[in-house]
Amino acid sequence: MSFRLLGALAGVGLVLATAGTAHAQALRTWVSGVGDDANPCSRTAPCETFAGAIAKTAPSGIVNVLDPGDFGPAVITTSLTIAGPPGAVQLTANGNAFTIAAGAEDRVVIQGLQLDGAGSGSGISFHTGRSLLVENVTVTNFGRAIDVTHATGGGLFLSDVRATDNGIALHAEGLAGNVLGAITGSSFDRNGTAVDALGGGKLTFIGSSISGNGTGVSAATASDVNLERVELAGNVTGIRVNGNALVRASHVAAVGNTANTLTENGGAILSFGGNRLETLATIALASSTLSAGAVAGKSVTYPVTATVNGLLASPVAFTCPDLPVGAACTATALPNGTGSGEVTVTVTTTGPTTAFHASSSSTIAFGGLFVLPLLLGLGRRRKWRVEPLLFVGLVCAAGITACADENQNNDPGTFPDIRKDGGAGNEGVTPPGSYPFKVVATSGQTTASLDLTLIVQ
Amino acid sequence: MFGRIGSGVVAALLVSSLTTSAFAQASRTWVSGVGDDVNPCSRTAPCKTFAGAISKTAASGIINALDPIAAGAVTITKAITLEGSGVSTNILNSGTNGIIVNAADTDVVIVRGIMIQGGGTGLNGIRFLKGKSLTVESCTIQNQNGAAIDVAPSGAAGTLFVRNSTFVANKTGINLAGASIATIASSRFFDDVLGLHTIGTARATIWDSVFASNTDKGLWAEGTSEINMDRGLIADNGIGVQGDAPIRLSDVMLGHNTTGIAGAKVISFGNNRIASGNGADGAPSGTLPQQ
Repeated sequence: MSFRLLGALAGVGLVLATAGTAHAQALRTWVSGVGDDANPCSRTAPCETFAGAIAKTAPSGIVNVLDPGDFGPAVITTSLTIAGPPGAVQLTANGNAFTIAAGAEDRVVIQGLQLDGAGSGSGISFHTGRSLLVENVTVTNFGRAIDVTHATGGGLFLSDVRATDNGIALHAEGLAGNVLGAITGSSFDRNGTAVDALGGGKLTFIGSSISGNGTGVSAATASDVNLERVELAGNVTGIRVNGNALVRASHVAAVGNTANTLTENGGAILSFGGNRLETLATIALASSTLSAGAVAGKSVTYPVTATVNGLLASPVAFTCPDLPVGAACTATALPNGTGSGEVTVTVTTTGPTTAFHASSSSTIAFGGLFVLPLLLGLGRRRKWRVEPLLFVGLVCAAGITACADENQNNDPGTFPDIRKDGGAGNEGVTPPGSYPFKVVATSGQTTASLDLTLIVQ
Repeated sequence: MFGRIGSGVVAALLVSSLTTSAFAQASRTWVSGVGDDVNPCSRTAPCKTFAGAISKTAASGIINALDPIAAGAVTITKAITLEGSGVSTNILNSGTNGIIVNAADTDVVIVRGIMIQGGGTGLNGIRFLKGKSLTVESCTIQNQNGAAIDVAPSGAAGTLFVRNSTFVANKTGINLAGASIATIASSRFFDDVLGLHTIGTARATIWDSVFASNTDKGLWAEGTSEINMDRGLIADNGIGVQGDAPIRLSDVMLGHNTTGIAGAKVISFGNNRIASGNGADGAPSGTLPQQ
């Protein structure tokens, strides 16, 4: 065989190899500001856009940025890494810059880019896929800088991400499953809302800044946000927790916010301590029922609304230090102990040991039904007998509403104690009268009080 | 006359110098995405791969990436620095190891500013067998079927220093075996199966780092190894910390793990945030006072 024939065969082989390369997907592709999507996206023949390069990149591959440029929006449907070099690599988008609609086990990494929006759409929208890591990326001027509205739940990791001047910097919501997110070394500044966690959003921030936003951290609908070493400064509202969501704060500096915290509708903030705020947390108490009365031996309830601003390191305890003799109070707990909400303060009084006292308020009509047979049965006798009690039970069963009301009040004094000693009976009895008293809420150094009045008839 | 002789001498010197450069090892060499390994790896005539440049680089020398480059897998057998910072520097190691360090017990090796991509079939991003120390700084290592960094000492163990690096989508982030010693600072382990695994008599100290969404475990100490972790986050993992050998935790938040703490040898300095929304928090098996 001649060398000429060998040369011709080699030439054919080369052409075939080149043709193959042009159509196959490579594990590493390149884009350049002076590239062309007709190229194979190689180091020496780079493509022009991310979309063009992604089409030529094999799953688990990497699209490298060769030089500064604007590489356009893209949809990512497989495991893929987009890696920008140090320096200015821009991606300008009117809608979404990156839309991630990948397979259940696909992992996406986006590094070293600057994403510039036009006030709407998302910088990175993560809908399906196993996990997303965003590192050393600036996202500016989008409706949502990073929108994780995940169909099934996935992992999210943000490291050294700067999200500024967006409507929302990070929206995290699991439509069916949890969005488990860790955010480290990042800045979410000057956004309408920096962090918007909804149901399924379970986020932890560490070593990050959330400053100058309308709302810093908004957690709602049973979302769960941990803050560790986070700077919350100059927001209108630092942390807003709504609707059974929970925020835990550790080593948070919350300063210069119009309101450091706002908890409502069952939302709460738990403090691990170590947080720094310029003022002590406050509790504001209010009630629509400032005065309530009952005969001695009965209890009365006051619905008390507590509004917490700031971070409380321990659950709020309620006491009533200046009640009259024979009276004591209990209170239900605030959401998670430290969240704003309504508690029921119940004041119990002590009546004469042998007298039966009809209930107050809603059961007064049924009270008549109780008293009549009791009086008939008892006459002037000091001892209880079984028959009238059975009758009371029957009446009570008939008047379920009345019994239910009594149960809600959790009132042990509905029926008198059966005392066998037949003692004198008036020691410790709450005498009739009008008694102003304070209900005091205390957590750590924070205290608040509300003036209420107990009327004993 | 003098000018003609002068240029002749200069030309002779130039030729002689070029010849020398082509064969001698330089203490600083260069690689470029458009270089060629037949070049002397100089700034103006760079090489194309780390493997091509390393034979032209003197011991304790440095190989610089000049521009964005796929620099290829490399085996290191002497003291050297691979410097990829400032440009996009990659090693693609499908089906093989990205960097093998198998140097003398006195050799210091530094790997900086390089992305090592296993493409889902890579063995290990960096395999550290022998050397005085290996420093891995500002690197991203991903998609390795083994470990991003696998330390398996043969003979005397070297020391691994890791700083500001990211390990994502590997089977294991860092695997420390034998008598290896590691210090890990300001680094991130995300969506690996295991974040950090120690076995044998390995010792690891971690500072200011994050272990998140590792499906099996964030930290796992086995055998008679030890892990100390100070200041960091362990979140969203299957098991946050599995202490079958001692793991001491200080100033760590453990949140949103399926199980926070497991194993019988997890020691707390009493300053950790454990009740942070784990499926089951678990409890440290012991405490150490702060002194």
